[in-house]
Amino acid sequence: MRFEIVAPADVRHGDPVAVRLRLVNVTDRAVTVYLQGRPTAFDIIVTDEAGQEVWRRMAGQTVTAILGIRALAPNESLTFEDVWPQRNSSGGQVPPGRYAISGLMPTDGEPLRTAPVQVHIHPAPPLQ
Amino acid sequence: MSRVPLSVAALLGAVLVVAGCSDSSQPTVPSDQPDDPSLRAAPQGTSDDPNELARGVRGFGGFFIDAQGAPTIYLKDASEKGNAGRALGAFFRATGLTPSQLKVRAGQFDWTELEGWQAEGGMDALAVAGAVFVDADEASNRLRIGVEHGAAAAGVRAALARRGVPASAVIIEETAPIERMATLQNANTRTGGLQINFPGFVCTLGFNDGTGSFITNSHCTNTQGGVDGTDYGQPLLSAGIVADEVADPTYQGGGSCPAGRVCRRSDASRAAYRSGFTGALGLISRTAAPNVKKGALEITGTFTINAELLSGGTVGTIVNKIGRTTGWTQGRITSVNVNTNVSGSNITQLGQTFVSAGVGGGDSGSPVFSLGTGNNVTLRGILWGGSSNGRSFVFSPLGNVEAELGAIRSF
Repeated sequence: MRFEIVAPADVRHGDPVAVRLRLVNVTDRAVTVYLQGRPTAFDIIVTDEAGQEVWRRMAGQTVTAILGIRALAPNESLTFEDVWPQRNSSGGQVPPGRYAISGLMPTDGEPLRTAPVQVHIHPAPPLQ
Repeated sequence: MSRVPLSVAALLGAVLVVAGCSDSSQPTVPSDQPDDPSLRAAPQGTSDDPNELARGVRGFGGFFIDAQGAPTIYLKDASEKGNAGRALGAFFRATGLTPSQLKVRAGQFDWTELEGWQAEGGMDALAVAGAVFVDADEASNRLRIGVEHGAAAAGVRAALARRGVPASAVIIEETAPIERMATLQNANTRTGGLQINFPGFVCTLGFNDGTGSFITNSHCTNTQGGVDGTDYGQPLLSAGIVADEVADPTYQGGGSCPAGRVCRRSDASRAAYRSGFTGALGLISRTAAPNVKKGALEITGTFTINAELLSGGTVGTIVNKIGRTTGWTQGRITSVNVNTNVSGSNITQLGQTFVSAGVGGGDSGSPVFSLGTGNNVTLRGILWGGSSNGRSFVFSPLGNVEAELGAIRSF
């Protein structure tokens, strides 16, 4: 399986950041995945340049402890999308700068994690 | 005579079942076919295995440590002892034993012959009903086969003969069957704490009720809120349907429910056992200890419910849960009478209790209880969710469950 995250590399200060998580069966046979939640729970974690967590999608949420069984055919994928509103955990607008965004999905074992991607929040419209 | 433990390949049948269950990220779904091709042809040893080191010695027939602790080797030609001692150099250096301690026994068969017979004839032998294991035995220079009863021996001998395995190379012995360890994910005794499966999902059986039913979560049904007759298997649907949903009140808005949301006071539903199935009333499967990782799911006995507590509890009280994913976890109540929004829904659960203890996907429905004397426990409610980091869980107090599903008789 491959678990990947897609987010824009450059965004304007104040604009919501669209984030997509994608779980792909990259093998040539069917694979079954076991994911927590109903609907399936997924987290998006934003950290600043110092590595400090700035925002987490599922912070403080209570998730049902059910386990979903999903079969993925070869090359089939599951996609989960949400938006980081460029807010911190207190609800305030984050300053321009560079941030890392990663994805996480709880399972009945170790959670699935993506590698982080970098997002640069510009104080001015992004360069073309 | 002490022996080197049976090799992985010798226990291929049991290993396939264990491999199907051993992945911590997957519910127990045994398969007839191994997913990993390497399991079909697992070698006897690894690069530091003395049997691998000595493989190239002419006439080598097996290596082991005898009951007196002496390194012992089977050789068809005793004059190869010097070569054998040199081939085993890495083993001697690693263990502190010396080539001078090496004992030689007269071998009748080459090790490669025994491995070949194990791989081919051994597979046919294991297919015989009552066969337990097949081992290329380093300690006897023979193919050693375990059978549950004498009746299987004839079938095993015939299977080996068809493969050209000489009878003189085979030792058949009666042995106890090797049984899979019962866990919260594979046991089918219908006690509290065991895995249940409904289409597309896995949850935990909370507790049995004296009406011939069990209680689990409302969200552990096809439709949360409202009865749709959800079928349940325990532990798996593939083993047959044991119960059907019969009660699951709808969620309602208004009143004390937040605007735009729907509410209940318990995430609970009832499923009635089908004819021929009964629940183990008053029993919850137990594991060795709370909050452990190793052996967390292996069943060591049962708790007995001998009391019920209807209220949400008191902050600071220690409670426990048994669930199919994280097993037995224990911690203190941190908050009571909490109105809780459920992530990803418009549902609010009213009057819930939070506990600082582990939880994971699949634990939904876990019975929550406090410990009494011996194995006696007081039932307190049913777990339905937790924090996204799995460090705290939330349960519906038993009183809330009774208010919505009717009187509960859990023992």
